[in-house]
Amino acid sequence: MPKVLHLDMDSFFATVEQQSRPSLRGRSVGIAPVDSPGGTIVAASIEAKKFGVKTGTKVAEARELIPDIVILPPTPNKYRVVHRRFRSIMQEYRGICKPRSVDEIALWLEPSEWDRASEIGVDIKQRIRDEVGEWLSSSVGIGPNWLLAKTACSIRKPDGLLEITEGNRRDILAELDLTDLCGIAGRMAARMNLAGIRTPLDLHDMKPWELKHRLGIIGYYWHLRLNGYAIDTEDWATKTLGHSSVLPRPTASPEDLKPLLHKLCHRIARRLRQDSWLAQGLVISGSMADWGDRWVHSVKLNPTQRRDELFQTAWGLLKSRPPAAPLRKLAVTTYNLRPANPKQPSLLETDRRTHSALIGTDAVNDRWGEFTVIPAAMMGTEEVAGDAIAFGQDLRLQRETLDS
Amino acid sequence: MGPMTLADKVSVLAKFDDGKLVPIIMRWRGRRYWVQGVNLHHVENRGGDKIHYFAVSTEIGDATLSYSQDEMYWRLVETNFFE
Repeated sequence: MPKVLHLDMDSFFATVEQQSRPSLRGRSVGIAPVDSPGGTIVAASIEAKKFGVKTGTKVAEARELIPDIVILPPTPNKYRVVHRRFRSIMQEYRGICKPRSVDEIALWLEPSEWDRASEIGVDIKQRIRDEVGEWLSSSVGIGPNWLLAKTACSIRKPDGLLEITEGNRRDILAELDLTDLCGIAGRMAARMNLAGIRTPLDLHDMKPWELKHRLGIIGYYWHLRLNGYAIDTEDWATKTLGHSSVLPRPTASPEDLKPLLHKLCHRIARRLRQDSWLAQGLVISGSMADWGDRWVHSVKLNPTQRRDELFQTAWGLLKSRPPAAPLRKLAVTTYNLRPANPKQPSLLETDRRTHSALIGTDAVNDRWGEFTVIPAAMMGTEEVAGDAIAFGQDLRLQRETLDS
Repeated sequence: MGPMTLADKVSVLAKFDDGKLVPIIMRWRGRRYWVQGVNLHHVENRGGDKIHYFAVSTEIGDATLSYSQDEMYWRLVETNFFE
C-alpha cells in the first residue's frame, strides 16, 4: 500500500519562541499580534493548551485562565526560517515533499521506502530536535493517503507517531467524530447526520452505492478516502491570489477600512507582477465581528496587475455596498488569473510609463524592504497590517519547495 | 512579564566555527556575560544588509543579539535579565 507521511509541528509559533528563549520553556505562552484585552491568540504553547487556551481565545480570557501567561507578538521570519530547516530535513528522504502550511509538511514516500515509513517518521522527529532545536517537538501520522496520514497525526499530539494500516483502520475510525476528519466541519457533519451517517465508521463501512444515494458523489469520495484510496490529486496550479488581515478593532466604516484596503491591494499587485499574472476578477470579503456571517462582493476586471486599478475597483465595491455590521477581518482576492505577456507592451504611452515606474519601485522594494517606496495615496498606512504568516497553504513556501 | 526589547550596541567576542559565526562573550553596561549556547539563529535582509539574529542563553538569562553584516555592529535587541 502507498505511504504518505504527514508531519505537524506541535504548537509551532509558541514552541519556536520557547526554543529561542529557554526561560519560557515549560511556561504558558500565547502568540497574539496585539497584546490588548481584545487581541486574539493565534497560537498557544502546549502548556497553555492544557488550561484551555487555544487559537482564537481572547487575550483577556487567556489571562483569566492563566494569570502569568506570557503574551508575545508573532515573528514570521523566525517561523519561516525554522520551516525551511525542517523542510530541508524532510527533503532528504525519498519521496515528494509538499508543505501544507508553515507548520505542516506531507511526504509521499517512494515505494522503496513504504516498509520503513515508521522508522523514517521517528528519524525525522529526532533530527528536527537534534539539528533545528531541542525544544521543537512534532507529531507524525502515516497512512495510505494524505487524509488518513493527517488524521493519524492529529490523534497522537503532541510528540506522537501513529500509522493507520489496514489492520487498525476500523478501530481508529471508531474512536473519531465526523468533524475530526480534515474537510468535515459543522455544516457538512449536519448534512451527513441528516443522511443517517453519524461517525467516520459509517462512511467507511457503508456500501458505496448507498452512500452515493444518501449523500451524492461526495459520500462516495469519503468512502474511498477512508478506505485508503488516494483520490485527491495534488493541484499545484495558482488559481487565485489574495491577502487578508484581521482588524485591530471591528469597523464597518469604509473610511476606516480604506488604509487596509490600500495595503492589501498593494500586496496583491506586487505578487501578480512577481509571478507574471494578470487578474481578471476581484472579490472583496469580510468576516463579521462575531465570526458568523460573511460579507462578500465580486466583480470582473479588465486584465490588470496594477495596485491603483485593484484599489479603485475594491473601493468602489466597498463604498457602494458597505458591510451591514462591523468587520473583524478584511480580505481581497483576485481570481481568473492569466499569464502576463511581457513581450507585448501597451500601445498607450501613459501605460508604458506607469509600467516602467512600477518595475522601478518593485526593484527598490525588493532590495530595501516592502513599503520603502509607496504611492502618495498610501501615505499614513505604515502602521496598518504588518508582516504576517499564512495559517493555510503558504504559496511562497510551496514555490520554494518546487524550486529546490 | 515578557522579554524586554532594546537596541543597545554591545561588544561581542565571537568565533567563526565551521562556516558559522558564534558569539562567545558579550559586554553590556560594563558587565561581561558568557554565551552558554545559541538556541536559534536566523537572518533577515534589510535592504542590502543582512542582519543575523542569535537567540542565546547566558548565565543569568536569555538574550537576543543582532549582528549587522554591513555595519559590523552587534546589538542586544532583547533580554529577560530584569524579570
